[in-house]
Amino acid sequence: MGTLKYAGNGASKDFLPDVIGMIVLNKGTTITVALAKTLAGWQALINPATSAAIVGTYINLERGFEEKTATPEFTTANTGLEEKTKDFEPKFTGYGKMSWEDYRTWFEADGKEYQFVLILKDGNLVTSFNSAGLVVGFLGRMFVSYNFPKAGGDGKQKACPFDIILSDVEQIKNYQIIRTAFQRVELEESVPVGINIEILTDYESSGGTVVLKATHRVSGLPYAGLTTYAQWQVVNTTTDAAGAATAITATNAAIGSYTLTFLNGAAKMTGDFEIQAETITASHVTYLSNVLNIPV
Amino acid sequence: MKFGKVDINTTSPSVKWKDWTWKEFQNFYDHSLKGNVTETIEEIGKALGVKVPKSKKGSDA
Repeated sequence: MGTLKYAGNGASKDFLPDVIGMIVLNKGTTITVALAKTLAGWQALINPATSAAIVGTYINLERGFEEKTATPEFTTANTGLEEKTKDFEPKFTGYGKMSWEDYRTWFEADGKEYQFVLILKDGNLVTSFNSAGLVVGFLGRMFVSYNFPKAGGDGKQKACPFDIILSDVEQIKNYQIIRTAFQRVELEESVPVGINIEILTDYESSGGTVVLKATHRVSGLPYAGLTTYAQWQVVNTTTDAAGAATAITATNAAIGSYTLTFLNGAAKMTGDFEIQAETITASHVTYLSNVLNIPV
Repeated sequence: MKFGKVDINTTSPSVKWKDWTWKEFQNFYDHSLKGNVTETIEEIGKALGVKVPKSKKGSDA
């Protein structure tokens, strides 16, 4: 619907607060308006009880937000009539306030479709709704930049750009602001803490063991909290129908080192597979690693 | 299920211990458990549901 009626002027002439962050959701994700007002509603999507249930995250854009939408096309007819003949898809670039190591974890998102809910400085949400009245954000594509470290100045601040091109002008036209009951920082603190995992000793072909190292992202300090098999997930395989962490020896957890056995049933993995590690506390994913490919 | 310093997966649908042969389990024991557990290979195999052959004495447990 889009009924045009005069709607009056408010007493305040305040600007809309700056966009300072965005929630990135898997395509097709919805949340009710009532839940979108609450921190718990977003935590069910951002840091639920298992990493498999995560369908979104929050990106802090305090390092900059630039609107890049092209100006509408105006055409002049041969009669002299000038009018708007086209609106272009809204687009913007947001600069992530994150480490380069965090940014690298987004490389696989390049060109993929997501739904974006914008967060204003006052913590309120800018979003559109689907036909059922559910919050869906704005559908669009995300592009990241593969680049070298910047020399300095605003180049450094803009080292982690997210170019977002929305798909539907109508969604922007019909956006609404949802007043939330939580602070923006609370949302950011709900995002699982990033852990880096890397291979210390290659996947061993006769026994299926691999030695892995887990560290706090950027600081490099060992992460000792991944001592049970249930915390290690096989998230993708290339040739095997399935795979799992069959056993883990965490004798050297204090230095972030873990020996894991990954098998498909009783058989060794026959092709590369990808893993991810997680820590769950009080029914929320609190630590989450990068996705690591294990060459076989 | 914990044995010594090792946590063994007993919940994943892709790890069906009852389907393992004793030879497969011996290989698993040699690579993933040996030196890190105090229980014998038979004790662990039995606890996991692996078919333990009566005549076997184990690899080195």
